[in-house]
Amino acid sequence: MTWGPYYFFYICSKCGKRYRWILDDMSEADFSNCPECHIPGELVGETRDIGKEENKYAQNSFADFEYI
Amino acid sequence: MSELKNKCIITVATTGAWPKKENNPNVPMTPDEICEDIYACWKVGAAVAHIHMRDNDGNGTMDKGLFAETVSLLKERHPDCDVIINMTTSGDLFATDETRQIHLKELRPEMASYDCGSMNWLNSGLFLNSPPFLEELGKNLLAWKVKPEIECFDPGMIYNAQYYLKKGILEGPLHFQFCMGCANGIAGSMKNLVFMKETMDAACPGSTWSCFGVGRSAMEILYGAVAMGGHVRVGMEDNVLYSKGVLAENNAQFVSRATRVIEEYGRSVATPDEARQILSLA
Repeated sequence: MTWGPYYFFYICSKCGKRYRWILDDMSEADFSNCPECHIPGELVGETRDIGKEENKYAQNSFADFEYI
Repeated sequence: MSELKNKCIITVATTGAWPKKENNPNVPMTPDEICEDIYACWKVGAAVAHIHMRDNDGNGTMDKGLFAETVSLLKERHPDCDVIINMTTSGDLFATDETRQIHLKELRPEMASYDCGSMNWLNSGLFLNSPPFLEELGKNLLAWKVKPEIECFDPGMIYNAQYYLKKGILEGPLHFQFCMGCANGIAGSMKNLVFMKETMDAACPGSTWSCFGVGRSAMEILYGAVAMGGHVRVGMEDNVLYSKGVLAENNAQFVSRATRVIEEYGRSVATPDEARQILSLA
C-alpha cells in the first residue's frame, strides 16, 4: 500500500499565490519559496490535512495550490 | 532461463488505498472498473496486477467479497487474460490480522503483498506489520502456495526479510518490491535504488526485484530499474499524475509508457507466463 506524494501547501505573503512543494524536494535551497517572489511562503497545510474540517484550505484537497 | 534475463515484468497497481475520484476521476474503484482496467493494462503489457478494493465510500477495504467479485468478473468477461493477480494484504490500516489474510486463503491468488516491517504512515499514523503478523502471514502464504511480494519501504525491511528467510518463514527465491519516495520511507533516487538493490543482493542473494517511485522520482526509478535489469511497477495506486500537473487518463497509459521505455532501452516486456518463470511461481 502506498499513499501518493506528500506535499506542503503554502501561500505567499507578498503576492498571495497558492502553491505546493513536494517533500521529495525538501533538501532544495529554495524549498517553500514562492515561485514568483522567491521568498518563503506561509505553510498552511500538508497532505495529511486533506479532508480535515479544521483546515479551510484542505476542504477541496488543496486543489487550487499550484504544483512547483 | 537465459532468454528470460532480458525480460522486464510490468506490475500495474491500479487502485491502491488512497486516491479517490477527486484526486483523479479516472482511478478505478469498483470491481467492474478494476476488472476492465486490469484487462486494458494486460493488453498493453502488464504481466501482474496488484489489486486493492474500496468500499462504497471509496475507502480502502479488505472485504474478501470484493476481491472475489473482481477476479470473478475478470475470468468471466475476459477468459483470454492470463495476468498474474497479486492481492494486497494492506488495503485498510485498521484491518485485523485475520481480515488481511482471509481473502488469500479463500481465493488463492498467485501473489500477495508482504509489507516487511512497520513504519509511520503519512506523518500522522502507523502502518503496522507486527512480527507476529509477519510470521503468521509468511507461514500461511507458504501453506497456501501464494508467492509473497516483499514490499520494502526502507532498507531495514530487507533485513527483516533476511531474518524470515533464515527462519524458514519465507522461502527463496524471494521477490522484492522497493517502494520508494513514500512519506516516512526511503526517498526515491538512483543512489537509493542502487543501495536497496545492493542491500538485497547481500542479504538475500538470488532474489528478483521490482520497484517504483512515488511523486517526483517516478520516472527516475522507472528508467533506473530498466537500466539495472530489474522490474517495474506503475499505476494510480502510487501516482495519479502522468506528468507534472497532468492527471493520468487511465492506468493503461502508465503501462504503455513503461512498455515503450523497456523496449527502447533494448529489453523486452515479459508476458505473464514469462513472469511466472522469472518469479518461480508454483
